[in-house]
This record gives sequence, C-alpha cells and structure tokens, in this order.
Amino acid sequence: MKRIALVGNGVTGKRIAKRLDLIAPDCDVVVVDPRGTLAEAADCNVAVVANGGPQIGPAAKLLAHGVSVVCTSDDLGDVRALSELHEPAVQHGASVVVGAGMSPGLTGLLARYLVEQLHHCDEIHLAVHGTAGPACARQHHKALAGRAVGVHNGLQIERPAGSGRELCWFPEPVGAYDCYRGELASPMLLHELFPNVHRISARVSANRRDRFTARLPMLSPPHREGGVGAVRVEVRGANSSGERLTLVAGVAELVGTCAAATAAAFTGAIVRGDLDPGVTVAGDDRLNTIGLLREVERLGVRLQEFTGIPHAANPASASTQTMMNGPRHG
Amino acid sequence: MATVNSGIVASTHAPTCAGLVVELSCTGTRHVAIKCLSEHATTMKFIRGAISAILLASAFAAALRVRGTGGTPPQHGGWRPLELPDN
Repeated sequence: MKRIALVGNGVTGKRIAKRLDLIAPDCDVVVVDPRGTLAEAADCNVAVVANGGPQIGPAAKLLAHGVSVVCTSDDLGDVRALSELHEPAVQHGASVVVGAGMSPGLTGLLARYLVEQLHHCDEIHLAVHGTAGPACARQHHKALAGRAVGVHNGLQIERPAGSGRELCWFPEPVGAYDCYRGELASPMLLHELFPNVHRISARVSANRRDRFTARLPMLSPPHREGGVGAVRVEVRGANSSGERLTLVAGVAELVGTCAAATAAAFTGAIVRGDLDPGVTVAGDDRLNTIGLLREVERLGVRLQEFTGIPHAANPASASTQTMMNGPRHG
Repeated sequence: MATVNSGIVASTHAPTCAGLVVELSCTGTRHVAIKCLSEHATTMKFIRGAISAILLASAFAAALRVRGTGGTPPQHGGWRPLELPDN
C-alpha cells in the first residue's frame, strides 16, 4: 500500500486529500503538520507539500528521507530555492515537482500543450485571477508589491509589480479583468523550459484598492476562500507555413480546486513511477503533458480554449485563433 | 365684417383659419392673409422636412436591411471545452 503524506491542511490541502483517493484508491494518506519534525512522513512514498508558508524547509527535510515531494508553492524565492534541489533529489533517488499548483503548475502544462501545436513560439503570456485560501490571498497581496520577473527579447528582466495594466479575458463566468505584472514564479520556470521564447510575462488581476495597498500590510483579514478564479495562457508563434498564430487556453474554477487537481495529478505520476529522479517542472517536455491534463480534467477542472472568430479560409483550424496585430505584451 | 382701427378689416366669412387677419381688397372680393402667414409656412415646411427625413431614413434602413451584406453575428468562437488529443 502506498503511503502519501499531506503537509498542510488548508483549503488546497483538504481538496488534495479528497483527490488522492481518486488517484491512488488504496493509498494511506498521512496528514502532517508543517511546523513539526515531519518524522511521521519519513516512511511515505510521496509527500504533497501544500502549506501556506515557504515550502523549501519541509521539502528539504522530506527529501533527506528519500521521500519524493510535490510542491504547490508560488512564491518566487521559494520556487527558486526548490529548483535548486535537483542534486539532492538525484542523490536520494527521489522526484521533486516544483510548481504543482495553478500557477505555476497548470499554466505550465497548458503552455506546453499550446506550444507543441506551433512550429515556432515567440511569446507566452499568463494571467491569473483569484485566490484559494488566506495564505494564497497574502501571497497575491505580496506579489503586487515586489519585482515582476519577465522575459523580453530572450533576456530575463524585472519590472515593478503592479505595472503593465492589460485587460485579460478569462473563461466565463469570470470574464474580463484588469491584470498587472506581479512577482510570480511562472516566467522564471517557463524561461528554463522554453529558452527560445523571446517574451514571457505573467500578470495577476487586481483592483485599485489592491494596487494602492499593495505595499502596506493587509488592511483586512483575507477571506476563508476566494471566489471562482481563472487562469489564461496565451502563446504566439507561427505554424510550419509561417502564418502567425495565437493560441489561448484557460480555466475558470476555484483556485484551490485547480491547484489540488494539478498537485494530485503529479502525485499520481510519481506513484506510477512516471517521473525521473530530480527536479521536474510542470511543462517539462519529458512529462506526459496530455496525460496530466486529462488527469486534471478527471479531477474536476474543465479546461477551455478560446476559439475566437472562425477562420473562413481554413475551417479545420477553427480551434485556432488567428490574430494579426494583437495587443502588445511585455 | 368687423373694422379694425388700423384700417385692416377682419373678415367674418373668411376661410376658417383661427386668428387669421385679412385685408379687404379694393375690389372688395379678395382676402389676403397678411399676418401669421409666414409663421404658418415655416411650420409646414419644417413638418414636411421632418417627414421627408424620416421617410428617407426608413428607406435607407430598409435597403440596408434587405440588401446589406453584414451577415449574421458569429455563430462560433469564444471559449469552448478543450478537446485533448489521444495520447
């Protein structure tokens, strides 16, 4: 019987626990307090780290016991530290999945799926709306006050978070929201996965109050859970004939549900032995991206694509939105 | 027939146009409107112009409706479920 440790029991953690039964029906789930020694997780096969704070500490402890780890962290510094666990993970023969939440995580899978449909990809742009539990809301608040990482002309750049407003259209019922650059980890991870892509950006939705108070402490305690969130991934490039294409995919779902489904899908991949030892990032070309996306769908997340206006010249590619002179991203 | 001090004579058997003041001509048989006539003509001209404009706009809209090539609104597009290919 497989033993799976669940570190953190918040909104996302509880949803992961429900989905682990679907991934591995006969598994034994051990809920572990991230503030403790994590000794009870030492004999587990896999640990899903879903606590709100930094996850590098629990992940490193579990890795030292040879336990494979699935991390849902979206904090830039935390993700950067987790990405450096490759050598210890290989030494212990364990897998570490970095960014197994909604973003990074599901966005990486969607980006890989869309990029694979292009002959050449120039740009990847992400937008995220909504939060899961209170820890996620605090992270959202923090993301609007930091330095946003992006890629411009192939070089990693930093811009002030909260700048670069853009109206992003998410799947219904979320619709359109103004989104701004944020201190998000996805561009950094995507730049490693797609080094030839010239532009990568990630934005997060915010209102005027969010931006105005971003550099202040949170004035009111966050909600127990945010409403329906959404994510949108847009890739731009060309097909084999040189025609410019823009492909857009997204999700409108509770953020906690998206993150839980993604984390559970990666946990299933580790349980089945699909992942190599070392650090793996969502969107890695070694992953079975289609299979993982199918698993995410099976776990309750409806994936959607933006089809735009049908292309009269080539009805077969109606699922592909072709936009010329689209809005600039940066 | 009533005589006005100004020398203008109001005809009691003039055409039933309320407030229309007429002048008795030297032949005594011809009535000529001398007042309100210009205002009356302006109003009628405005009404005729408005009716003409409405008719013209209606005809133009009808022509566009019947002959226009705008087509129907898009029947496809927007967000739809992602169809993942087989592995």
